Amino acid sequence: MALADYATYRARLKAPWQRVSNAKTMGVTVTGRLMSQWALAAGAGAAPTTAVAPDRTTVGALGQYDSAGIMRILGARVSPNGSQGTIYICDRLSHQGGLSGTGAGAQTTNLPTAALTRSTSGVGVMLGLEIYTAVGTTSAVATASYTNQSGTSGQVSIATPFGNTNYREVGRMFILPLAGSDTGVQSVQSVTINPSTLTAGNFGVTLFRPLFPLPACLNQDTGYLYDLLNSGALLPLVDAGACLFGLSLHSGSNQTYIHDLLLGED
Amino acid sequence: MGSLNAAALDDVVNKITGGNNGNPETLWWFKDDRVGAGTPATAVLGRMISLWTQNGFPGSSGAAPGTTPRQCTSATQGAIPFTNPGGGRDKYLLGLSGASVAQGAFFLYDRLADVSGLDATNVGVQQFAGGASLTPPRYTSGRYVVPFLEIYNTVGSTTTMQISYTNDQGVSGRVSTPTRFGAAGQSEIQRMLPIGLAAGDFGVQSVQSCQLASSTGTVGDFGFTLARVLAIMPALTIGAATIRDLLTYLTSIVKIETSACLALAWTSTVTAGNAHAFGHLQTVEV
Repeated sequence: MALADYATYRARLKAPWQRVSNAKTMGVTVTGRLMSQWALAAGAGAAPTTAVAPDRTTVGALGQYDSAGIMRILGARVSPNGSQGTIYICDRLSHQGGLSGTGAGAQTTNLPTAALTRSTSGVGVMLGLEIYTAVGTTSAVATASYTNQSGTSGQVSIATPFGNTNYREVGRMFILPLAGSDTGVQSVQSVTINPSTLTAGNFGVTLFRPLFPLPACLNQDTGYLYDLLNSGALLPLVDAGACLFGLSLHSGSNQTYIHDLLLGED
Repeated sequence: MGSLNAAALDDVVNKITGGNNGNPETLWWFKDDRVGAGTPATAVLGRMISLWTQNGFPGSSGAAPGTTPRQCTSATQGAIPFTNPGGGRDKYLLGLSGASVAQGAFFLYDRLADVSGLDATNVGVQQFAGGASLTPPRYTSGRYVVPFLEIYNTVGSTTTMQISYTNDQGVSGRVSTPTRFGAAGQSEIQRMLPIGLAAGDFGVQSVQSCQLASSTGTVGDFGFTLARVLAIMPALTIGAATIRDLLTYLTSIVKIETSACLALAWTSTVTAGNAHAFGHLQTVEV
């Protein structure tokens, strides 16, 4: 059921059904490169091991309550304390860990990924590799064998840089370019690192769907308020059970982000 | 054909939340800093880079089109795919965002037609395979259809180039102003150079041939792309996304033609790095 009109939208925004707040302190970040907030305090999630499909109750999720009906993000606020950047609010659909930066050949430890319980078609689902313990300093490339949005297995992602500076750090999230005209991922069967980065580290596959960008263009503790209707008309749906978490881009390190999400029901 | 009464926010709110066949669609895109197995072009201050061949999501990178002129659609590999509107409705772009590893500006455009395989050492008149013309399948009037020179394999030293085209009034045999290419900043893969048209022309209906003033010394591989620019997204700060709200800000909401081949280009404010970027497009049907 859609929002009926502007007055309804304003009413929902002024009295949101729930407000979800979170503060994350970034450690060392890589300028301009995607970092995951999953394992950061406060409310840090654990590095996954076996393949699971996380939900809103998983430690690390922002932890919103489910609605009896349709719920969406109507507004947001972000306060950076450090430098500029963007938080991308995403739904973490499936994850696993235990992959090695020194593994030879196709790695299948804790794979395939757990079946999607949201966005089950795979359309718009991005394939990420997330580093939990730094891998090595030898430049390599990473590929993954996956099943695409049409259920076609054996698709192989386009090789992306992995290992060495900017591509080895804890918290880095790599989005793997997909093959052909694929528009999403249903599952991942294996990951290949070639050559070895010479340090095992620990990394894993994260399947996720981005929902909304939350930019902070200046370092202002007073923060930025976003009325999502007037911020590009993107009022993203939040699926029942969504495991909301943040990916971020930064222009510096050791930033603290405080953000609120205002959620309303249709 | 539908219409959007932009003053009626009630209609907008209802449609963008899925009511009344609004069918809102959010198209997320990502560009990796690789072109195939290699590194992309290094950005040069103020020079446009085509992101067509850069690896990313969704799908893989686009490829050099080849010597036969090609009309591009949403099914062309490299395009940002979307769902065509149904029921006699039109699709509009209401908002977009982009963030990059550097400051600059993204250009969202409809990639109408392209061709490649031209020789940067050939100083004769170069036609396309079979004598075919490069023609757009959309915006067929040619109005505001902009021709670009696009480089797929590095060329050599400085020269100028002119195209022979039919303008937006249907007048054939028009010749563009000389476009400089070659040498540093204008010879590398992914460079996308706008071509100046003859006085009084507001676009092209077709392109027939080109000619270089002199050899660049390196064959390379270059071609032409016909484009209709849809929106510009400034990336004002490293890592901080810019959200363009076309509903309430300038310039205005933009119609996306059925089967449009949505693609991106990038201009950097620094001479360094490349476009490793993340963003989205927000659409609605009316």
